[in-house]
Amino acid sequence: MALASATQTYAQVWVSDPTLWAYAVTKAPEKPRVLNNHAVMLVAQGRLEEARVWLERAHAAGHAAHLPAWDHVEGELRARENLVALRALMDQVASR
Amino acid sequence: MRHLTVGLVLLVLTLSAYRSVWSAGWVYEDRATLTAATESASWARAVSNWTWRMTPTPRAAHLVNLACHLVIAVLLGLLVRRLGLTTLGMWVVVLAWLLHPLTTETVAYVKARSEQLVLIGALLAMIAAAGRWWRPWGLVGMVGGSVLAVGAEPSGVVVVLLVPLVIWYGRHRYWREVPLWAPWWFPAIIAAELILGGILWYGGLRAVVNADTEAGLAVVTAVTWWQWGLAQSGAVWYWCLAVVWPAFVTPDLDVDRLSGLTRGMGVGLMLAGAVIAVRCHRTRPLVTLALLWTLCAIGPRLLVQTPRSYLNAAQFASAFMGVTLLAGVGAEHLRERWTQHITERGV
Repeated sequence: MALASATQTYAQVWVSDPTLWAYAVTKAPEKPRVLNNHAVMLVAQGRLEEARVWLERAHAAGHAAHLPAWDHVEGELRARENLVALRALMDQVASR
Repeated sequence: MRHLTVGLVLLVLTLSAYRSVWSAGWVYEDRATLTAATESASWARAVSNWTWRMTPTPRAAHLVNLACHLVIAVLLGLLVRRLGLTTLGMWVVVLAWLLHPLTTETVAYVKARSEQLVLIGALLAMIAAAGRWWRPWGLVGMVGGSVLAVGAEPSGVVVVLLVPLVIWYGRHRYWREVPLWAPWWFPAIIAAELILGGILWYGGLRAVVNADTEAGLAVVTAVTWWQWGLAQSGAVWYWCLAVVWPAFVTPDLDVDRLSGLTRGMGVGLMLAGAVIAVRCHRTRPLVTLALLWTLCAIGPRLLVQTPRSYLNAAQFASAFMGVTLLAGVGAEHLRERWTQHITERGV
């Protein structure tokens, strides 16, 4: 019964992208891919200011010394691209 | 009647635990996987691509994944009974498979269906190998299951290790009937030739070890085999902890943050498993089989550097099956000890 209950709870995490990445950041709060994807979900929900904070965290995490080369790509490049796109979006929203 | 009741209870619990997937949408790389499946004409993942094309809506896709989960449980139960586990051990194995959160990713993530199909193929081949494998139906089962596993996902090549392992395990049971042309080590020789032939066909060991995508080759060559192997060992340690403590299960494990100690513990754990497997091969061959099953499922992942693809819960599923078998053997052992204890006290 305990296993069934744990599985039921965990299966609900996999219902949608926002729930998945919101859960994933609690387990991997310094992983660039997780931070990036969580931020993108927040953008999709219109929570732009929160998304900016998470993208900046992703960008910072992407510079961590312990990361191997391929995760630098995820952290630095993708977070930087997403940040630029988000700032453009925020400017558009502000100018309306 | 009692077995039917246990089976029904497990089925109801499983359907109840996974009721949220009925209304779940596409998650993470599901959409990209389906798009790629509709465009792909490649033989790699041909079986998986075909099933993804057949399930274009999220509900249909999730239902097929759930059905595959149940099919795997039935096949796993059949296999462990064929290997000689009692009904108690079998139900422990089936329960662990159906309801452990470690297998949730394979059910709830449509992309992970390829891993499920690998398991179905591998289990069919192993069920055939656990009986009179030299007979026509045995050979058809082994070859058919292997083709399904490899056609579902390149990682399905692990079946080439698991089938000879099961035949080795059953070597004493059929030694009177086995024909001269089919000694137990014969499939192991075939498997070794297949592995060597596969490596040569792919372009040598260096090509195999450095992942299977062009993008990966450029990036990953900067990583030494030791770095990769240690990182994956850390992931092995983590997932083994998650087996014992399911709260550790996560959709995207941060392997880079795992310490050197954790990575070393992963190596130690696998070495300990190998030593115990060797030591138990006469007294408790089923323990040896379970441990070697787990190690064989993990082994290739320590070598092959798939870029940005550390061992995740879905990829750990085939190793987890070996762990469930170990749990089944453990449950049997506990019952034996308990019965012995009761008998001694009664006397």
